[in-house]
This record gives sequence, structure tokens and C-alpha cells, in this order.
Amino acid sequence: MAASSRQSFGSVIAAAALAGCPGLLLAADPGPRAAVGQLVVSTGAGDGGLSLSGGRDRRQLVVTLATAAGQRLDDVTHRVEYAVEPPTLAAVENGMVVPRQNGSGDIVISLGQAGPSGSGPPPAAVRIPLAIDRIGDDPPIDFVSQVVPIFTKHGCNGGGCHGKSGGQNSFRLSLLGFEPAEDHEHIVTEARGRRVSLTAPRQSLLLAKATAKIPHGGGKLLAESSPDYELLLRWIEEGCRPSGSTPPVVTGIEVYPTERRLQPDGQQQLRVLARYSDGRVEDVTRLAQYEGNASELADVDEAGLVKVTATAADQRSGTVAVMVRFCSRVAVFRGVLPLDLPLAELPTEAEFVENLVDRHVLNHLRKLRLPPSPRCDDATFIRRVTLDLAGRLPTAEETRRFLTSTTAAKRNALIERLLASADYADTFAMKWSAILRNKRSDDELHRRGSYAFHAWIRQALAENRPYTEFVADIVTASGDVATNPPVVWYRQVNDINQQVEDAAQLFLGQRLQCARCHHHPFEKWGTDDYFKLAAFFSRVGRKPGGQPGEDRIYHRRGTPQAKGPRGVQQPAVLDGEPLAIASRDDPRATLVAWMADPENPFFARSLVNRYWKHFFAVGLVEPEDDLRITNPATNPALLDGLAAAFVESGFDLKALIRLICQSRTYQLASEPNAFNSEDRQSFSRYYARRLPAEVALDAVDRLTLASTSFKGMPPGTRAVELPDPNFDNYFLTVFGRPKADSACECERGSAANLAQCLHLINSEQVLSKLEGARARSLADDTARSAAEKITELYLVAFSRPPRPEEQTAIEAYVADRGDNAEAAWQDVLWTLLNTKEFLFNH
Amino acid sequence: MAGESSRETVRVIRTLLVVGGLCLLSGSAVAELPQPLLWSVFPAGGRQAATVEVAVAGVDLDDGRLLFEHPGITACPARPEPSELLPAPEPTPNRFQVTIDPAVPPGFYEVVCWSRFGVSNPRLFAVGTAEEFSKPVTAQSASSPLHLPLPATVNGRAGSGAIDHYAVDCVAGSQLQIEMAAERLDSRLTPVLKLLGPDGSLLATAGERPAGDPLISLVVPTSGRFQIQVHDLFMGGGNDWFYRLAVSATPAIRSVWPPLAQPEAEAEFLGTLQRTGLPTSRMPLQGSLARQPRTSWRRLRRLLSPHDVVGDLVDLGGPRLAGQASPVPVLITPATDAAVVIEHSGADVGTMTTVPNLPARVVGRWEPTAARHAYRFDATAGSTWVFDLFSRRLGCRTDPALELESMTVSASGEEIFKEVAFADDRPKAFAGKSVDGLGLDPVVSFKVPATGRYRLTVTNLDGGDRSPADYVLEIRRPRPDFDLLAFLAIVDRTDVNNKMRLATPSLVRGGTAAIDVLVLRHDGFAGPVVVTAEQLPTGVRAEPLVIPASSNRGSLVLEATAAAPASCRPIRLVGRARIGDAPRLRVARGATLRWPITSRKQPHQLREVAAVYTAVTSDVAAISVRPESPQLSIAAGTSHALPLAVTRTADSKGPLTLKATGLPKLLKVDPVTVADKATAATVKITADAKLPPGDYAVVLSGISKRMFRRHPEAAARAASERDRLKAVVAARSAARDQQQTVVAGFDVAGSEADSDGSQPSEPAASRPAAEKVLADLTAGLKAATEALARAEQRFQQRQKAAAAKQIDVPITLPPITVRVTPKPKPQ
Repeated sequence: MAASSRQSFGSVIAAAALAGCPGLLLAADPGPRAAVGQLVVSTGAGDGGLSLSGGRDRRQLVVTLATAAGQRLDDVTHRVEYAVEPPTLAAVENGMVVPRQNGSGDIVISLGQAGPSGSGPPPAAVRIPLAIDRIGDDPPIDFVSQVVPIFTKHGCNGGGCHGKSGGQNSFRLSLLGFEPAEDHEHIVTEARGRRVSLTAPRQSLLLAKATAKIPHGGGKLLAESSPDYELLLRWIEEGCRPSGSTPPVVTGIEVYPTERRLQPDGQQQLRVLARYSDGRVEDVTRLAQYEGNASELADVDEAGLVKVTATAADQRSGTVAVMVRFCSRVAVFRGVLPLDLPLAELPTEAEFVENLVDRHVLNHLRKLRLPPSPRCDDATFIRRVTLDLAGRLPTAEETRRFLTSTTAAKRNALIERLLASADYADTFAMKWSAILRNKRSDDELHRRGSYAFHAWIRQALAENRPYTEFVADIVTASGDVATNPPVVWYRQVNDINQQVEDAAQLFLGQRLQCARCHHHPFEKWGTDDYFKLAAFFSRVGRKPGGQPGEDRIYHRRGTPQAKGPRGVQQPAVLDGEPLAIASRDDPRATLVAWMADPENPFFARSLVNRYWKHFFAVGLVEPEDDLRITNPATNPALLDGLAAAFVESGFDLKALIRLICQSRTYQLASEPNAFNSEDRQSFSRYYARRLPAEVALDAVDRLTLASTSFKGMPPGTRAVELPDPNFDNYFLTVFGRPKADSACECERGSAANLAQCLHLINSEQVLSKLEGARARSLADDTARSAAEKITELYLVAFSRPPRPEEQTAIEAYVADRGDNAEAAWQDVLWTLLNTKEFLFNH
Repeated sequence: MAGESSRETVRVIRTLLVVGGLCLLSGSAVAELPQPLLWSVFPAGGRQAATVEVAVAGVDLDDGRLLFEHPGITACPARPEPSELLPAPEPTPNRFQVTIDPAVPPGFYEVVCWSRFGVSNPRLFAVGTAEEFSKPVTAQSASSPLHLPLPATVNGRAGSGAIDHYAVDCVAGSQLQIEMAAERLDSRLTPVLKLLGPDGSLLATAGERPAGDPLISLVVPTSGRFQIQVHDLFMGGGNDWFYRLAVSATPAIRSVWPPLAQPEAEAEFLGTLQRTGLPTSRMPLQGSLARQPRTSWRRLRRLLSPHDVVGDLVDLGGPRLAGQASPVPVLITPATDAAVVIEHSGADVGTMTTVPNLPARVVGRWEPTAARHAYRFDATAGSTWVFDLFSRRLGCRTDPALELESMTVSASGEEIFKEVAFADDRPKAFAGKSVDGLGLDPVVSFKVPATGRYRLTVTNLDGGDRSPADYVLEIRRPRPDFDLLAFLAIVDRTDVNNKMRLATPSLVRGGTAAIDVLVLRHDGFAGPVVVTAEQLPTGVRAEPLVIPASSNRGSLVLEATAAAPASCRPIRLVGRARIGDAPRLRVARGATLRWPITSRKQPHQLREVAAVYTAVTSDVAAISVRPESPQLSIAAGTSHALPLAVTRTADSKGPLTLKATGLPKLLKVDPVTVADKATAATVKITADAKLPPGDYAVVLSGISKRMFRRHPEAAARAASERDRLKAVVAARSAARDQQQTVVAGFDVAGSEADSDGSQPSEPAASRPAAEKVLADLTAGLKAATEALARAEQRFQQRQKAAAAKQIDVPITLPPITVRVTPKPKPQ
């Protein structure tokens, strides 16, 4: 928890001596200072103890037991015993303090017999002063801040229920409660007011449905004994009052703890406090919504209890983030689940760290006690880096040279060679062309423009233009396709909504689509933010271009603004104030200037995460273009470090790639060790992944020496060189080539499926490739031995020589088919290209 | 840049067609009179002082002759060598020997084909100075590229799905320039150029952008053999995908500074060299302006400017691409008293350059970092100034805009700017017509509201091209003027895609041909224009065409007399008008489609032509319709029935319906149906009471039907040749038979000798010689028989082609000038 937060919520660390109670510790976030065997209780209140006001005030206590010096902090909120003195003052269940009557007293918390195993006597009980007042003098229920969250919590106003457009069974609520005034009207006055009954509140349709007393499509959502039911009932009893004209709004929520090391089979109770604009602070632990991002590690229930699903036997480690939402506000708890290994099992910095990537990765692995796999061998490296950087298999000759080279820095030299090659530009142009939606809606009319845009992208990458310039040229593109091919982006991304959404997703890692109609459910962005950003694109003008089907894009003079559901918005960057931009100035230039600002919190992070995923199959944030506070990076320090280095380099894409590829992390073996086979997010090993569709097709062609022809493209054109997706090819389709319909890299299918297997095993297209020149030349070649030929095949397919058993088996097979050598070699090729080793980058 | 300009004008013309509501002659899908169309001339160029055999491809080019724009280029039909069988062979169809005079300057020259059926559209023929090569078939393989010296020019055609490979040897640090001419030659090729280094790595590529013919110019990084690859962007190919590829060691000039000059005056310029991927370098040049620039740069852009203002700078003394002129456009403008302000690289707004007085010419160069220049000037209330900016018309890839603001100073001394005028693209250019998008160069006519200081901001809205871009801003008094454009194409209005065909006016004797003429009005000129045709072939005449103030188009109709001799020549269309008190004469420029438009998605590739040709053929019109009087006068609110005289031959078939198109709504002309075999008809013309008085041109047109025999002379020639060969065969057959008898005589004599044991007689001693003679005669007969068979086949083909068939013939009547007088006042 940040220091400012600590201050703001008034949590303090109080030594046991302060309260005169040995072992008592009120803490915001107990850390290494906690003594072994101490109970640490977080109340979220000030140092004077816990004060509750009114019968509906609640407070979730979080009780932690320090079980090893600075090493383990176990949540025992649900294990300790709570006693209230006097007992009539309040009740405490699973740490939730519920007031019963006015007065003061103590809550005594003890571990009883459930002390840390083998660590001696149980810790001393903790006594917390408790003061309660205003029971029976509760303020009226506030519809916006108290009633609406109940609908949200139980999913009533979700998109799949009454929150969808048109509502459900004639009852409509605003999506996620972003329009509470409308919600009030729908509940109280619509349907002739039958949804609530002021004279018989318990008979209200609203309650009867929620408790399933009468049939309800959504089932039973509330128990009559639940606090939520009681609150709704009370609200009806009070006359279903709407909130005032300026109801208090939630200005922030805070989760406690924010980060905690978890244990196998362990759990962690969270507490969520909401701060309102009128200064109130309320415990909304039971009203908030929770969502975890790694169910293989931990789940979270609706009461905010995080339960680790991994057992000690699983030997799983990793991080889990729990997103907490309440009234459009979000907070995140981050749990770290380490292995039970001594640090000595992990490599030292000197052994592991090549550059900043490794430093951050190693720090993370040390937290997880997760030992990394060893460095991959040269054969694996040349294949891996050539596929990733150049989108192709290394040639047999390249592999031979590399494997026999004794130069110390040969890996770095290979990286440099590949970065300087045309193949690098082809490969990354393929990537960018797809997410920049470079495709043809009209095959004939758009062909010229799409080719030109692809060529421009390729050229920019080959020249290693700074990423800021690359993006600026696209976003501020003006002119026509002859002078400025990036204007083609505006052809496919042809309305202002698509422009703002694509630009945000592509270049800022922000998915703003939701915020076009309503407040983003998982983010802080609302419709105002959306249309403020959209205003930057409001002056994009179009004229007929020189090429049929292609517009000339220009800055149309005028005041930039965009009309959203809440009125006309002036341009403002995310988290920024509205800007006054002169009518003669292109607002897009202001936008890209902000993007390119080294202090921009989105721009560099978005790119480094995107590129990280290119090389590691998994982004530091997933999805790679959805960076938000509720979707934190698995290694935030690494993301920050990469972004800083990227900015420092002048937004040099090749430098970023160099940094990644030169790291030990990138060069780790994909084979797991005894501990990291389950690792999917900590990069303790290289995650093998299937080749992209285009690369796979080219690899098959390279292995078989067949060629795939693409209509209208020069002979010998490789799939990675295709300018757009408008080339029919079943192989590419079945292997998940993106259609360039959106700015999302998720369009590219990376899964392996049955259709792919069948296509490789027995499709006409692939079988015909076996008849390519490779098999024939091997059969006709009498100068070389079978062993030499097999070695060549293995170098081409796997970038390694064959193992003795492989050599023997193939030699025997070919010899056995001596009467038809070409067919025998075709069989060998068929076998090789159907191996995982061939189809995967590993 | 040529392509850029061309495309821009294409857009303009398309706009004219769509918005202006032009309705040219309607075509139809049925058989029509032959119309010569020239698709290609290959090779599409030759070296100075060389004779080149070229093949032409096209339609209806029978008995064609090639006529070149430059008199120093001549062509004669290629003929096979005369032989005993064919002592006077017919020319080889569609092949010519082209001779290029050494004095012909390098450049692109138009060529048309004058055939039996008229004159074709033009194609371009390049003249170069470098050694020329033809692409061999083997060049389609990467393993056997055609090796080229420097400099050299290759004539080639792209093959479908194929890549052409060439190789040049260069040393490190030397300049290498590779230039493709395809679009400039009217080729269908969309060329892509690639340069590969000695190690096979791709060094440069050009052509992916639709920005005209590609060019690669660089300093080569290493010594060795460099590969050049050429292919169509879409891997198309065929006869119409022709190109000329020039390689040299001298760079081209991309632009010159200043882009402003006076005609025929020596001047000094700073040239910017074209170099791919390298910083531009500049060099001083001595230049002069050709009186008649002969280059493919004559694009329609000139039509968008005041008359005779934009020209091409040629004959530069500096380096130039080998074999192909690479002219650089500059503004050619006569000397005036206008001040010239030269802004080498104007600062962005914030610093202003002062224009000392008006009128003025401002020459500026936008740098990528400063695409907005500001100027201040003083102006007097009541005066009107035109701000006319040239940048696109100088070949720059810009999208300029002008902003005019008044400048005042507040009490606190702060300068206050208030916009008073703004122009992005050119506004309405046609009197009374709203035609947008006429061009990207803006023009503003500004009447100064108050004496004071003003700020003019000149902006380039096109942020694409990172190279500097030039402009010339003329600040002048309004100069009402006009240009004329003769549009040589036919729009098929019956087709939803508005198919368009190429058309050059060709007349049959007694027939007519229409040429659509557009008026482009400048600076508010709104008067009528009278268009006349001059330098017409003998026997051809044309009534003057009046294009009224309210219109911007009309059809000029050429008529050939029944006795007009077959001929072909360029004609001149001249527009005359009064601007103020002074007469003004303008000669029309011609524009043609480069290829027929067959699909809505196909770009309308238009270009200016060097000359508007017309031809008279030896065919005779089957029907001729003429108004009794070319003029009539009617009062508004009345009608008039004008008799039409009809002349027919026996070939004329069926009724003919005539309609007038493109008339003002208030002038009504009833459709006229001329009945079959009728020799007279009447057209009713009604002027609405609200029709403004003035002269209106009424042109009636329709589709007639006639019987037609295609090229009967060719069939007759073939018959004659066949008959001659028949006689040859008969003679040779007789000689062979006679010799067979002689040889048989030896057999008889031999058998007699054998039977009586006597010695052979004397002739028996020459039997081998007799057999030899027989063999020769037999071979000669065989050759003659085969030649006869071919001649018979040719005759049959021509006879079939010459068979009478019914065809559609568009017919356009000479215009009727209707003078509408004011509605008579009631008594």
C-alpha cells in the first residue's frame, strides 16, 4: 500500500506496547518487521481503535500471522477466534464486525489452539478497542451509493440481464448502474409502480423476484436474511427515495492488502474501503465485485476471500491479480505464490543477468523461488531467433556456420545480422500490416493502396524509423496514397469511433470500445474520456484521391470537438485537461505529441508489451493491448524497465528487440526443470509455441523445396511477404492467419487444432509439396551418403544434426524403400514436417 | 510527377463528366463503322539516328501509315524482300521501319496511325541517346539476366506472372540511376523496380506507390554486379505491358530553384538531384526554356491555369537521364512589373515575410518541418486581388491552402488577426456551374474591404512527401480568361458503367464527326465563346460552335463533302471571345483516354495530346441530314419548325431518330424521326417564354443503319494477287508437265535400246539433267501452289470481311444556332 494511502485511510502501525497488550499490532500492511508469532490485525481505521456509526456500518478485519521472520505472513482472518466485550456490542463473523448496539468495548482476537505448527506457543491475543454509536439513528439509504451497487454485485444490471439494451422482460436497468437516475425511474415509476410497494415493502416485486419467491429468470439472488436484502427493504420502507441532486459519489476504493505472498492451500481475506465525495469511508467488502486472473493458482469469492487452489504437491508458482470493482472504481490485489525452495537453488545475478530484462526476471523468480531452465543450446537459439526475427527457418548453411563458430559473441552477431536483413522488415511488416487493418474491402480498387501501405510499413521498419515517427505518420497521415501510403489506415479505419478505438488499442494499449456507450466496466474511462480523445480525430477531412477508391486525407479546419452522450467534448488526452487547439492546427499532431512524450504512461508500455509477447508468446500483460490498472503486469518492474529503456533509446524498435533477444531470459531452454513446468507467466523458461501461419507455410516450402504461388504476386513470394490477407490459401486460413478485421493481434490464431493436423497429414496441398524438389534431389543425389542427406534435412527442419537413433531409423527406412528412393524421402519429409519440433518455435 | 499530374486531371475530367452532365455520342454494342485504335508501338522508342523496325498493335489499322509528331521521325511500311513469286509484295501488316533523324532531341513524341478507316488515337514513341536493347526471352530467368552497359535503354514487355531480370556492373561510390518509362508511354504496365546488390540483398525498390513511373537513383555501396528486376505490380503482362528501362550513371534532376522563369530566357537554377534514400544534393544549372517543349510532361494540368502559364523547363545544361529527357516543370510567365519575393525556406507562422507591394509573385519552398508560410502586405480598400497558387501544377505532390487575414493592432499593441478569406481547392471554375474539386491548387479573389495590412498564410495540407515542395503564388489583378479542351472520347451512356472509348474524328465522305469541346473559365469569365475549326483537310468544313455564357461545353461538328479526298492532318480548334473590350483567342488542347474504360472501377486515365488529328476516308456516307439553315431566330415563348434535308444512298437502311442533348431546360427540341427512304423531315424547336435571349447551339444526333462493306479494295487486291498466282501456277504446271514428258521420253528410248541391244541415243546422255530440271520445276510449282493457297486464303478472308453487313453509324448533324430573342410584348 502506498504511503499516501496509508495516511488517507488512517491505518497505523501500533506496537503492542501502545495498547498495553502484548502481541497487538494494528497494521496497514505488516511487513518484515512483524515478529514471528505475532498476530497483526488490520482494521482500516485510525490508531484509536475501530469506530462504527449506525446499524449498517460494517468493517472487515484482516488478521495476519507472521510465521517466519520476514518470510511468511499467513492470513488467519478466518481461523482466529473473535470475542466481543461486551458480547452485545457487536458480532464478528469471519472478521466482519457487525454493530449491535451503541457503546464501546473491545474485540479480542486470538488464535486459540490453531497456532503455527511447531513454532511454540500460540501468539498473544490481540485486543482492539471498538466504539459504536448512532444505532437507530441511521441516515437514509442513498440510492446511488448503496442500492445500485447491490444490483451490480448480483449482476442484475449486467449486459446479459436487465442491463442490456431494452432490458430483460420489460425491466431495464442502466448497464452497470452508470445511469442511476434512470434506474430509479425504472424501479419506482415504470410498470405503474408495481415493482415496489411502499405500503407492503416485503411484497415488492423487486424483492420477491430477487428472492425467487415468485419465478425469476435470474434465479434466487438474495436471501431474506442477507444484508443486501435488508438494505433494499429498508430503502423501500424509507419511501424509495432517490439520491439528491448531488449525491455523494465514490471517489476511490482501496483494497487491503494490495500485495501478499500466498501459500499453497492458503487464503487471504481482502477488505475494500470506499471513500465518498462527502468524506465518508465505508467498508464495501461485501458489495464489491472480485475477479481473479489465474484460476489455476487462486480463486476469489464474492466476500473477497482469495483461496489458493494450488496445493503444495502441485509445485505451482506465480502471481495472481484480483480485480476489485465498486461503483466504477477499481483496485487490485496482487498475490504471489512462491515455491517452497531455498533461494540458493536459484542462480545468482552474476550467473543469470545479461541485461535489465534478466535483472527484473530474476528478481521475480526469486520472489517465487522458481528456478529458471538453463540456457538453450546454439541449435535451438539460431532456429528460435531466426524464426522470431526473420520469420523463416535458418538455412542449413547458416546453421552449420553458426554451430561451428567459436566466436564468443556469435549469438549477438546473429541477432545483428537478422535485424539488418530484409526478412526482419518482412516479418514485422506482416505483424503491423495486420493490426493496422491493411486489407482490401474491394479487391480491385484497394489493391494499389494496400500494396503501397504494406511497402511503406516495411520500409519504415527496414529503416528503423523511431516508433514515435512511425505512429505519428499513421495517426497524422494526410495526403493521398501516392504521397503518403499511411492514409490507407484511414480507409479501413474509416469513422471517428474506429479511429479513436484503434489508435487507443494499438498505440496506447487501452481498449476504449466500452466507453463509447457507457463507463468502462473494468477501467476508469468513461464516455467523456472517449469523446475527448475522439475529438482529436474530428477534423479529419476527405477528398477524392488520385487513385480510384482511395481518399485524400487532410486536416479540415475548424474547432475540434466530438459529441458524446454527455454533450460536446473538447479534445483532451487520457487523464488530461481539455485543450484549446486553434482551428488551423491539426489536433492529431497534438495527440501524437502527447503520445511521444517520454512521460506518457501508456505509449511505450504498450509497445514493449506487444513486442515482448512477440518473442515470449505471453505478454507481461495479457491481452497485450489491454493495459489497465485492473489487469496488471505479471512483472511490473520489468514492464517499467523495458518501457524506460525504450524511451531512453529514442523509441528504437531494433534496440528493444536487441535488448530482448540478447537477454538470458530469451535464451532460456524451453524444457522445464523440476519446478517450472507449470510456469506460464514468469518466464522461467521459453514457452514453445506454434509457428505463425505464414511462417509455417514458408517453412514447409523451405523443407520440401516446393513453392506456393499467390495470385498476382511474383514467383517465389513467401507468405510472410504478402501485403495483405486478400490471398486465398487454405493452409494460411487453417493455421490462423489474421483477417485484419480489427486492431487486435488476437485475430491471429495460435492454437493447434485437429484441422491443422489433418491438413498436414493428408491434405492435397501439403502432400503435393512433398513432391517438391527436395525429395527428388535427395533421391537423385548419388554423391552424398544417406547420413549426409539426413543431416542436411535435420539442419533445415530443426537446425540441429540428427541424433544417432534418428539417423539409424531413417537410414534403415530409406534403404528398405530402395526401389523408390524419391518416395522414401517424401515419407521422411512428411514425417519431419508433422513433428512438433518442426511446427513449433521452442 | 507526370503520373501525378495526369491523375489529377483525370479526376477533373471525371468530375466534369459526372457533374457537368456531359452526354457525348452514344455508342452501342452492335457493329459500327471501323474506328482505328492504336494500342501499342513496339519497341516504344529508338535511339537518335537509328532505324528501328516497330510492330504496331491495334484495331482497324488496315493499310496504315505512321505519322509522328516530330518531322524528324518517319516511318515506312516494312515489306518482305521481293521474290520471284512475289515480285511486288504487300507490306507486312502492322510493321514499319522507323527512321529517327540525329537532330531529334530526346523525349517522347506522339504517333498516330492513319489507316484505311481514319486516324487512330495517339501513342508515344521515345527517342533516346543511349544504346538500345531488346529484352530477350532469357531475361525472364534470374539465372540469365540481360547484362547492360551504362548507359543503356531496354525495350521490353512484361510477361504475365514473370519477372524481367537485368544486370549492371557498378563500382562502389558511383551513381546508378534506373528509370522506367511505362505510364508515360501509355503502357498498361504498373511497373515495380527492384535493385539487388551483388550479394542478392534488396537495395532499393520503387513502384509500390501510385506515383508515376518508378525511379531508383543511388550511390552504390559496393562494387559488383547488381541485378535489376522489373515486373508488373499485379503480375499482369502481355503486348500492352510495354516499357523502356533506362540505366545510367548520371542522376536526374528532381526539381529546380526557383521554379519560375521567363520564356526563352537564359536563367540560372539550382537543381536538386533525385537520389533514393540519400540526402538530396544540389548543383547549379544553366537552363533555357524551350519554345515548344516536346515531352510527355504536357499534361492536362496546364488546362487548370490561366492560359500559357505553366510550362516545362527543358534543355538543362546539367546532368540528365541518359536517353530520356527528364524535364522539370517551372512556371513560365512573362515579365511584368510584379514584384518577385523569393522565400527560400520560409519560417513557420510567427515570422512573416513582407511583400513590398502588389502585384507580386512569391516563390516559396515548404520544408517538411515548416509547411506553413506567412506573408504580410498592405492593400487599399476597394481593390480586388486574385491569389493564385501554383504547386500541384508545378508537379509537386502537395495539397495547398490559402488563408487571408486582416491585421489590426489593439489598444494594447497586440496584433489581432481576423480571417477574411480561405481557399483549399479551386472553387467553381465554370460559369454558372458548381463543379468542385477542379484542382488542389487554391485560388482566391479578394476584394479588399478596408485599407490596411493583411496576412496571407500558405499551407501545405499534404503531410506525406518528406521532400521539400515548391510553390509560386501570383498576386494579381483579376484576369478573366478561358481555356478550351477538345475531348477525344466517346461515352457509352447506354452502359451503367459509363464505358468510354477512344475516338479521334474520322469522316467518311458526306459524313460528319463531332468533337466535344469544354470551356474552362478563369477569374469569373462568363461570356460566350465561339469555337471554329481551322486547318481542316480539303473538303471538310465546320459551322462555328457557340458556347453560350451559361454553358461550358458544346459539340463542334465536322462535315466532309461527298468529293472530299482521303486525307489526314492535325486541325486547330480556336475559341474566340470578348473579354472586356478586347478580343481573346485561345487554341484548344486535346485530351484523350489512354485506354478504353470498361469498368466503373477502372481509372479514367486521360492525357493531353500534342495534336487533334482528323481524317477523311474513301468510304461514303449512306445518309446525310442537314438543316436547311444553320441558323434561325425565334422569340422566347414561340416554336419554329426547321426543315431538314436528307440525302441517302442505297446502303441506307431503316428510319433514323434524331435527338438533341445537353440543352438548357427551357429550350425544347422534339425528337425527329426520319422515315425509311424519306428525303426530308422537320425538327420543332420551342423556346420557353422564360428562356434568356441569346444564341444556343442545337446539335441533333442519332444512330443510323446502313449496309457496309469493309475494305473491298483489299479484297480486290487479294483477288488480283490470287489470279496472278493462279496464272503462275498454271504456267509452272504446264512447264512441269512438259518436262515430265521429256523425262518419260528417256524411259521410252531406254527400253527400245534395251530391246534391240543398240547404244542409247544422244538425248539419253542428258537424262540426269532433265530430271534435275523436272525436280526444279516441281519444286517451283509446289512453292507457287502453296503461295496460291495462301493467297486464296487471304482472299477468302478479305472477301468475307468485305461482305456487305448492316452496321450502326452514329450521325451528328451540323449545329443549328438558335438565336432566341426576347418574348414579344403583348399589343
